[in-house]
Amino acid sequence: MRLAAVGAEAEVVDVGVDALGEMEVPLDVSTVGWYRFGPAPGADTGSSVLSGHVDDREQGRGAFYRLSDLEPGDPVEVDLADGSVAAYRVTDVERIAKEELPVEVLFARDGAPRLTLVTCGGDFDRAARSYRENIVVTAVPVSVE
Amino acid sequence: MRRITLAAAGLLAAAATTLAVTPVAFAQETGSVRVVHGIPDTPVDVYVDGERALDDFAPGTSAGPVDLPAGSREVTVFPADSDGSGEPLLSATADLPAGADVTLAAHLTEAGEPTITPFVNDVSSVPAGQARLVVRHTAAAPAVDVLAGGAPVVSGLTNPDQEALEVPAGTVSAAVAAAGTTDPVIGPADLDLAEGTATFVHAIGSLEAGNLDLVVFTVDGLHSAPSGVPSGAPSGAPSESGTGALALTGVVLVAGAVAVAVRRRATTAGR
Repeated sequence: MRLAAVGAEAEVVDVGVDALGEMEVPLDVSTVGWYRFGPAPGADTGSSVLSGHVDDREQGRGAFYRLSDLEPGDPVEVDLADGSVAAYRVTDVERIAKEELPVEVLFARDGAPRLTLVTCGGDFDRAARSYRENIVVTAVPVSVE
Repeated sequence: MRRITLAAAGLLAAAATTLAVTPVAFAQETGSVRVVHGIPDTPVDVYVDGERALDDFAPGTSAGPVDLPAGSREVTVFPADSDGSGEPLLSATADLPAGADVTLAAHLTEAGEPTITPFVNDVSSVPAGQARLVVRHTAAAPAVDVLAGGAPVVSGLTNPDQEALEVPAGTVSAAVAAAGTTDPVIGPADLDLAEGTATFVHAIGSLEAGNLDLVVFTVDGLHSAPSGVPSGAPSGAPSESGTGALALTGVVLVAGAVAVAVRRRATTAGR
């Protein structure tokens, strides 16, 4: 998948759910995970969710390091297995406190087709060893604009 | 005629039905009904409140769901191609609560007598990444164990009981064996337990007659969202060049300001 506006390109791998019931995020911060139980990129209906790490002390910058720099109108492209490209355009970039993340909306399998990109942001909580916020980017198919 | 009271809760999205019963307009005044035919070698016609709902219902199959008016429903089962009069094979009165999702199973008792058993279908949400598996003993056979991948996951299930499990989504090799044994009397068969679904498996037929079999139906759309997206630093610390490093710099600056203030106060005190 490519985020041309911020010069990011990453391989997409299938992910599911971890032991805590959260979406898995690939350990390799250079890759992006697709939530395989929900709609696939290019689907006609619902939210296809991709997650990637923002950064890591050992591995450096993650695939979604500059996700929060995206702006409405920026292109998002995902190469599909059949050789075609699912083209989206950013509509929203939001910072949301982790405990307020609207997971029912982000992971909805119905409704208008969209691509949802999620990484972390905000302050790093050293006690919890995690960031306090999620960066959520919503993009809609170029074909339905 | 037996009277069967159904205690049930839960709503289900309407789905395609093969039952020829007129649906009712208001969901809150209806219950959802499925039927399972677990009596071998006996095609039947099923009547609800005197009207034929299923014609030539084949053994070893299921039908539904159909929304029926909540309340007392009279279910009668006749041999196929009868005219709905005369002596039924089976009859029951089911009290169907509004919003309930139930299965009426026509099957054999442990002793081999035909009967109708109502089961409440658990169609509540399934945790993200999981699938629900519900196993029901509706066969003329003693207690059984249900095996997944050769290991027992349900032990000592007897006719007409059910047991529910929530398992990671995926394909399992399932089999049924006499309780305490691992030699299958049914299966093994691959069950595809897709994420966010409930699969209802009915063991039917007769051990003595050698016609044990499974009737399986699946209810989908029961998925839940994951509880969050932990997309921070997998090592537990952010990159030195990242957002976290900026936050750290801020902490150092604040600490420096405190040190300066303390030194000033010490100077004042020394005077």
